[in-house]
Amino acid sequence: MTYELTVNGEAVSVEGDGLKPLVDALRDDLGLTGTKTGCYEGRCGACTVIVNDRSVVSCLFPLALADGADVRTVEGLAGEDGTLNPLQEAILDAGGVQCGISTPGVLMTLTALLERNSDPTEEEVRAALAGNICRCTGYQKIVEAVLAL
Amino acid sequence: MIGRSVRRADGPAKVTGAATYCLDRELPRMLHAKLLRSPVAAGRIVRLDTNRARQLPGVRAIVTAADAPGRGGMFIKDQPLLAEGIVRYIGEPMAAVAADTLEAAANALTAIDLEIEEAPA
Repeated sequence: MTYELTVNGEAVSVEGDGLKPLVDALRDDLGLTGTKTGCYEGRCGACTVIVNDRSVVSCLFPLALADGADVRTVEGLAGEDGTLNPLQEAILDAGGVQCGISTPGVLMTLTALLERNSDPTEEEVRAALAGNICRCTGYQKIVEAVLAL
Repeated sequence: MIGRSVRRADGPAKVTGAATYCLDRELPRMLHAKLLRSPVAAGRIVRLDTNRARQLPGVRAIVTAADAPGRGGMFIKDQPLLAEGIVRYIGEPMAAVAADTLEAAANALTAIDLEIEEAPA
């Protein structure tokens, strides 16, 4: 089956089984390897993307459900000319990136959070990040980055 | 630079998704590996039979401690590469499978006959 979706503002077609995880469609079919896989069971959050303005774990999101949807990934955060957005700048300034494997998922979770709540409390930021495992940073610098925005 | 807050050089690549990790790379005819990991914290390996798994389509190789003798580790070389005789922690690698696809490698894991006599952790 062919599915039509919008990814980072661009209309794309993806062939595949309706149950194919969206993360596989993004990484393998569309070559957007920014979104990472970790557990493939929705627990680590590395695969977090935004579908119709909601953050989802794309490893458990069937391609069929993304038909006609607006999908945003980490590759769509920076400007066309490569200019980093305020969240990206903030996380780098705060030192909230180490190995970086959790970073794309973290950024998408935080993007969705900030669109719902532009001035979150520390508690709200930490609660939002509950679904993103980060082994390196201990979350502190990531939280500081968001609070500094 | 000393005493100043400096951004890491690979930062921009990581926050834009441009940074490539091993899992993002695809090389022609590359094989995919999966590890069989101990489901228990401690015990004696009674049986670790990879023969059935070896027959599965797409499986190119399966190795165990027998194929990788010796000890490695940081500073003190006391750690086997793959569990030998006993397992010491949940998740300890016991066997490694190389196959044509990730799916074939994952399937092969389920076909490895494993029996561990559990001991108190």
